[in-house]
Amino acid sequence: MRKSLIILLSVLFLSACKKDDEFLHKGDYYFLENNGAVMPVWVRGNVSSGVFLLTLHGGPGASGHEFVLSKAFRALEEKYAVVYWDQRFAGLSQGNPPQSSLNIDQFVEDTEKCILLIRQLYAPKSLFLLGHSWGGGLGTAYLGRDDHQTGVNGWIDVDGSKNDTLEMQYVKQWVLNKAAEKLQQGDDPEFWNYALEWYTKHPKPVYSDIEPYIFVSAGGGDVYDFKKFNEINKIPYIRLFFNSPFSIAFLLGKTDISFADGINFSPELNAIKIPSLVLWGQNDGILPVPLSQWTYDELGTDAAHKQLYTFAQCGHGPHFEHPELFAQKVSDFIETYKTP
Amino acid sequence: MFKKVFFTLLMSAGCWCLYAQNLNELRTGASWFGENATHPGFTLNLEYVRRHSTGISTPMRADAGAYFHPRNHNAFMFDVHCGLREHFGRRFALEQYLGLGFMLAFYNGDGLFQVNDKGAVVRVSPSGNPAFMPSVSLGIWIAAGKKTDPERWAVHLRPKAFWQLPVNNLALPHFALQAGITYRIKTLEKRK
Repeated sequence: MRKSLIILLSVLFLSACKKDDEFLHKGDYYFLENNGAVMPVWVRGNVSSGVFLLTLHGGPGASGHEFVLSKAFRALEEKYAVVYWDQRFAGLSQGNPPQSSLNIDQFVEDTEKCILLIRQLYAPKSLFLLGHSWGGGLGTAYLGRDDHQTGVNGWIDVDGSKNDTLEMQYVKQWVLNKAAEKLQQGDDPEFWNYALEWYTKHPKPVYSDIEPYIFVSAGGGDVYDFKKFNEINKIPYIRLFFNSPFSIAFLLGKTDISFADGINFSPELNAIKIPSLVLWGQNDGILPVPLSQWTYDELGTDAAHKQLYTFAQCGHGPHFEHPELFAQKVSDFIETYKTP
Repeated sequence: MFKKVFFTLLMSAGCWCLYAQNLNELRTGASWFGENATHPGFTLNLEYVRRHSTGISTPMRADAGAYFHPRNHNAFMFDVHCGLREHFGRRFALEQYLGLGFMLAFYNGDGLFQVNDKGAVVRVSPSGNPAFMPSVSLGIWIAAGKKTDPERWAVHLRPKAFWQLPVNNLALPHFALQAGITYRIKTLEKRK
């Protein structure tokens, strides 16, 4: 019995001491403390390139650590340093920030401090920002205010959210179209009739309404092809649980997203003048594809320095559904606008 | 923070006194404490066991230790557990515990930074984040001593769920695996 115990303890100890696990040893892993929140900042990839890509994750309340699991960002890490930052009340962030700190100004301030941290620690030659979903809104809010564009080479907006009222109406239209299609096919009429009924009762939904996301998800508007998605993105759940910074906190909803109800970053979007790349999934139901053209049109950047690309057969996460093409588009943009 | 420490110690002392009336065994030991099983840690254990019958005993255990979750946090902890141990035969028992404790967590990474009012980035030393640590654990307990005194030594394996409260204003759940050994250091007379 004692032998069995010694063997068990040895196995546990050796597995804990394993040095080759990239989640525990690759890159630099810092914490940024601001107004009660302690937010992880993970810098991975080719730091010596001098080109840094700061990612702003979605949600609010998702995690920048999920980008680490995407083949697209792993490909980008080969060429550039990629910074994965978890925002307050999100992902693996810690601390006990006050609920009152859930506001746009605070998130913008956190973004500024994260950039200051990267600038001080690495003095990057080139800095690009990339925001996905809510991160697209946060990046817009950040860049469109004060003189934050100074020293930022370019902005990459991936299925980004910037105008609650407008977006929720596009989502509504997407769901109504999908419901009509599904009802015509006789596919789960009870559910889709409920969706139609819900919209009749809630003609002006807001971000924090959960139902539209359920309808979109049921209609395939978040992921276009789940089977292919799972084939491309093999998540190493066991390694994440046993040998990574990940914890159960990653799975917990910690953010009351109602603070983002009614946001409208149109003025900030107009104020952005730096080179910009807008990337979007053509089948996105969470932020439907007409919003990509609206984003492109509203961007203040000169037409010669802004680009729009939409991914066919793609929902809300082109970096997960088309990783190679996504990485190529981002890389082409960075190569064009990085500091020589 | 001091209120939390005081409250935890008070609760511990209360439990201790309650059990001290009917002790019949005092044990000490050490355990591997793996948060998520593999994030390394250890605990030192002190255990009072009240034996009610050949089949049932009620252990009360105090654990002090630490664990290290790389790129997440390190924690120092102290908790007490009240439990039930049901014996099957001379050597095998199943256990269940409720625990309450206190932990002090520190960030585990390549540095903690703040940006001061002048816009300068400064590295700061973390002071530690105090938190309550309620827990639930199940266990397998096996007497591993010689035939003449099988319970002098015992080994245990305990999956444990505990909560760190508060983190982001929530009770953050954790899982751990405790595996270790205890040694009976004293047998006490049962009071009537």
